[in-house]
Amino acid sequence: MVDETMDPIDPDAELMVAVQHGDSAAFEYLLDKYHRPIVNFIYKVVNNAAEAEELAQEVFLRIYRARETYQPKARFAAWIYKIAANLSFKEAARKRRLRFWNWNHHSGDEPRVAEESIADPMPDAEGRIITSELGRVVRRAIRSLPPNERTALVLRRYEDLSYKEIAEVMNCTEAAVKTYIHRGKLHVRDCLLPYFEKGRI
Amino acid sequence: MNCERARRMMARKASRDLARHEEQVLADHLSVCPGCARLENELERTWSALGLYPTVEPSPKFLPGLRAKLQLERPTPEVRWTWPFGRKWQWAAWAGCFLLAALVLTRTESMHRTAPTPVQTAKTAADSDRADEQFLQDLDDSLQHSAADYLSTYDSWPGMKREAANFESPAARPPATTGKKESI
Repeated sequence: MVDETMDPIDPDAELMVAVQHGDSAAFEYLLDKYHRPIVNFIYKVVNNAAEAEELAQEVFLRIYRARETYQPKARFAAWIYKIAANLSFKEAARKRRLRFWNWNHHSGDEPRVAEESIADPMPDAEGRIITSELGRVVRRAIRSLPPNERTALVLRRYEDLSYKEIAEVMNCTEAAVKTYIHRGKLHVRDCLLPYFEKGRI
Repeated sequence: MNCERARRMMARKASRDLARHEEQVLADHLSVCPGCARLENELERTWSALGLYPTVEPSPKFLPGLRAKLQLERPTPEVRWTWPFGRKWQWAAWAGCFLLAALVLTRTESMHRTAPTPVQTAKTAADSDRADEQFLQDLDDSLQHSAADYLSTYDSWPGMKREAANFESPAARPPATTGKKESI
């Protein structure tokens, strides 16, 4: 059963324990509840809708494969976001390496083509997402954050995880999480300064 | 209170780590410092503006695709029935490798057993010296016989028989070491 040291009894962790005992309906419930937030979280880290969906599928596959060894020591949400964050970081690092390789090994106008093919395989999906100019500015600001600040800010602002849970996800202290979030906020504020001055926000 | 401390307190206020009396101190500073008051206001509006980040709705293919992948992960009876057959071959291959390794080991061990030990090698060297001496002795003997045969060829010549009787072969000479005399 669920670990007694866990603060409140987490119903999702209980469901995962049920999955461990062969309850496939419990897994369907978790899938239904978490697939949107996980896709959105990964999207904010990797900045690509198609890749976000692919990685989100991998997250659920890993959870399913790990059901036998699952131990409900922390909240289920923290666990699933940790897996998603690890996968997203790896993917982001792979893309950085690929971009670096393209920059080093191609001349003149070639890197542009390679970069576009990495960044936007689904332009219509991107078009569906972007709703306003401010949305684009915010997106660009978050995109330009360092990975730690971006992850902490996204988990706090959009996924509503506690500082303790974010610290678990990121393998750092709560104080470090607070610092990351504050720095991230300051950076986004710098990006939005022209809009503050125009009074559009 | 200076502006730097006020800004640190703003960060702590956002994470709800500020005590009540500290909140009052910060509010007092903000009321007299327009720069810090503006920053506080902009940070609050930034937090609201972050809500403008567009959300992604997963494509209609996402859940069916994931369920198909999950289906492959689930063990089916057919899969369980087919695997043991394959494993038998794996076990047979492993057993064959094991037998081969055992055979090679046994052969190697027997080769090591027949190989001469260092003591045996020394013994053989002594034997070899003795064999060399024996060979030299045999060589001397054969030389004596050859000389006798050669002289017997001229046996019919007059005067040669006498010379042959006086002929002294090298083997007939007494050896320097032993002083032993041997006749043809």
